[in-house]
Amino acid sequence: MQIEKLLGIVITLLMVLSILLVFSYAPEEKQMGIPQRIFYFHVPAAWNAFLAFAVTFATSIAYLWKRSEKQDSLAVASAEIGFVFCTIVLVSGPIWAKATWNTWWNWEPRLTTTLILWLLYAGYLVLRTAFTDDRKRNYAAVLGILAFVNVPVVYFSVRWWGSILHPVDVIKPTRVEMDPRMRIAFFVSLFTFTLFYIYLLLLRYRVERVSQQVEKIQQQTLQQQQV
Amino acid sequence: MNYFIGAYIFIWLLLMGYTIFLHQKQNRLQRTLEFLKALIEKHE
Repeated sequence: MQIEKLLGIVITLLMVLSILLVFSYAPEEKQMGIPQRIFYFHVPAAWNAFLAFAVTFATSIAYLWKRSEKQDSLAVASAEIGFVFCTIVLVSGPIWAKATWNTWWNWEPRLTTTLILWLLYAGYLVLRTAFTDDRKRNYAAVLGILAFVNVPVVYFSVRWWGSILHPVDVIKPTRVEMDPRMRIAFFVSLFTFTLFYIYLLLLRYRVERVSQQVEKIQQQTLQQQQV
Repeated sequence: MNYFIGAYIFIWLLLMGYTIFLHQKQNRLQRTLEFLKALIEKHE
């Protein structure tokens, strides 16, 4: 709890710093102008969605292997947070697209595959509400593994099918075109978003564990009443 | 510029809102758990 409180304070401070860096320190991009500043939260949100889905993938495998409820709790916690970040990507992307390319939506490979990813994890969350017994965990674990297949597809879609809107690589260690001040603003934002993901994961995991305890007691009480 | 600052703050508020929602859900579940435990103890 103490670590969580400390983490919350650090994230709040970093959030303020990040906003200041994005809007007053980072220079304006010459071609796109002000709308380019969406980049500083659009890309970190996408990175965290991928990270969250990767955690769901790993913990789903671990659940099917060891049948531990803790692994299942981590899987659902991470999937829900990933879904929130993926929603941010799908909201901020069209705002950027409208301002820069004068269109809200384009059925280009990355946008389409990201929408499919969002729908897959929406399905994952809905699936968990459809059952109350162990089938919920088993089916969700299988879907958690299968849905992750789409993550590399989203990442490589631009390379495989080409795109006029998205670059192949956003950040490359060897690439020097990005202004150093832009780099600082970007990495501070990326770090803040990642810390926020860890904080949310800890919180959501605890909610799931308490929820499971309540569910167990309710089921035991029902069984006793039936006997 | 104001439009984009607004959008940026909106994203952070969305994340803050989700955090508050989780905290409230946790508190509610904790209270339910304690209530159920007390109820079981009483009946035993």
